[in-house]
Amino acid sequence: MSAPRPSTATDPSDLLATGLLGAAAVFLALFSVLPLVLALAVALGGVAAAAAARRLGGPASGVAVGLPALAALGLLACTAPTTAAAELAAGTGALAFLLWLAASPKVRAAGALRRAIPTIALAALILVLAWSSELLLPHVPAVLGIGGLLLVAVVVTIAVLVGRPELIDREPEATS
Amino acid sequence: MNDPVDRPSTLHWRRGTFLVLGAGVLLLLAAFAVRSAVPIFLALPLLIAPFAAALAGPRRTLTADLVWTSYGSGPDLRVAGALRPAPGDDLSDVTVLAHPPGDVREVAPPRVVRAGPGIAFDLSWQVPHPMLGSIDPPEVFWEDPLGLVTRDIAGDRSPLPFERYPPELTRLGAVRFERTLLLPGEAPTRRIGPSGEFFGIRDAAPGDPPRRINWRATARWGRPLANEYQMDRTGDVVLLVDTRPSFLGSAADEALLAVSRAAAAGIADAFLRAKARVGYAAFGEFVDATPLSSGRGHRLRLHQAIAATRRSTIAGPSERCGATFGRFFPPGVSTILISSLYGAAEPELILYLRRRGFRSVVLSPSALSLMAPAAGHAQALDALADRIERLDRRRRLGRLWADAPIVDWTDFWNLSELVNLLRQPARRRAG
Repeated sequence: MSAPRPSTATDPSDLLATGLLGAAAVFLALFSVLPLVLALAVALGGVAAAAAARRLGGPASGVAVGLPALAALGLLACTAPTTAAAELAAGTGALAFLLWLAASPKVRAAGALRRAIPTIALAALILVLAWSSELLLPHVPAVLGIGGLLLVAVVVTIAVLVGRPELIDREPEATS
Repeated sequence: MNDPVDRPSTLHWRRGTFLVLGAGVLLLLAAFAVRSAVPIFLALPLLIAPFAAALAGPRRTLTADLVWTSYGSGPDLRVAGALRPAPGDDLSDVTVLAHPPGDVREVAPPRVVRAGPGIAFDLSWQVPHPMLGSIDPPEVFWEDPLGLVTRDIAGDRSPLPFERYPPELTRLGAVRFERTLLLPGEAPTRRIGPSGEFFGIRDAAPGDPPRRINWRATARWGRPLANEYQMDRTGDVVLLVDTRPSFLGSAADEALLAVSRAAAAGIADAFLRAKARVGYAAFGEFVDATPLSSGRGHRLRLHQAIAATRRSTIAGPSERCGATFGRFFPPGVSTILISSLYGAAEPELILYLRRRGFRSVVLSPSALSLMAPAAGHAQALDALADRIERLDRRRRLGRLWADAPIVDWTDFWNLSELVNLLRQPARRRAG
């Protein structure tokens, strides 16, 4: 209500989500070709900066405060060689980031973390499908072509859904 | 007719959605640039999350009606409300954002309780000075737990009017005003009406409500008979608000007019509660008048007229007010003139009213109360200027006391001086 204020007390769910995000970033840092100390510093620095920004910016600061953590994850992902474990670590990092977004303290009703599970589960399901396909399918040019087509299809679908949100709606039909 | 797609969607992407999607697309590009699949796996959940959030939330517009009320006294303005959802709607992730209107400020964090399917909230605000106002309905929307998608909530939500005036005004009901129609002198007048003490029985008229029919007498006499009541009232009073522009400028005039409106509403309420007849007039370029009457319906009429009173940009001549006033109100009726007395023509107004037979008591809100205290070096200078201004105002009001008793209203939350003046007829008749 009114202007949300910066949180003064530490929310347990926020602490848990920040811990999970930190652990996922450290997990990804282990695969990076950067020196271990530097990779760990990038991982923990990004998460700490995001947590501090959320604490200073207040509960209404939204997704923008998470950008340092996202940038750190992106840097570590770009410097990691392509292995199944590194891909899994990157996906886990993204899911942990989404969980961290859901744990924004005080702005939403209690239990937001629990209510975010269906959304995160859907993202996790698609991630697991992609990862298992990548792991199990043979690496041939035809499969890469199909993958590229699917990627283009995903981008087009995203553009259409962003432009026409009513396609998601299931309003009861109006009768006259 | 079915039109599910043509209807505008109530689903909105928040700014965070575009940040997350932008980050996802950047990671895809980076994956191609570094020829690595790892960033794609980081991008995938980010690209899917907004749509997953939209699909996991309600797929149709939720409905919740707002029931709210204001309470408290003096400067405290408390608002209690509840959002009642339509059957089957869940308000778990619904956010309620209420914004204090104008100068009203928040003194305590809002208390939100999710009780059952609905949401109850309590707001603690403080108003800086007496005022009549209206609180806009709060923003109510569903937001997904990640903060990426919102959906509007439909429902009946109307603005909440509120009024705050000094609490002393409740004591005004005991004031006995002068009789205005039959004989001069101070006495309660009596009138036959629909409520009060039992007076007698008469033949029932077609418009009489069933409550007024005396059924025993009707049965005894064999024809419909109705009760009549004798209503006590303390007299008649007219509130006249001067809305003409002064040399203070429009901002200060508006602020003083807001205080004047609140005082007029408070005084009118106090006398209406005592079953007095109350009239209202605002004088800017012309006179807008609401004739004398009493009752709940008249209270509503008066409040609408008071709330609609605006500062006039053109100052009408004082003699026009005196002449027009006599057409709406009987001469001799007690008049409370609410004027800042910062204009050049106000002394004439008191004089013209008096010549037409309207003895006035003047309530004058002071602009000095609106000024914020200065800090630092300016403090001493400001205190000196304030003192000079007070002395000047006191001198000006002192001159006007010859024509009418004046209450210099400096503390906007205290009107005991006006109440005491009205309760002492000898002082009221001064001048």
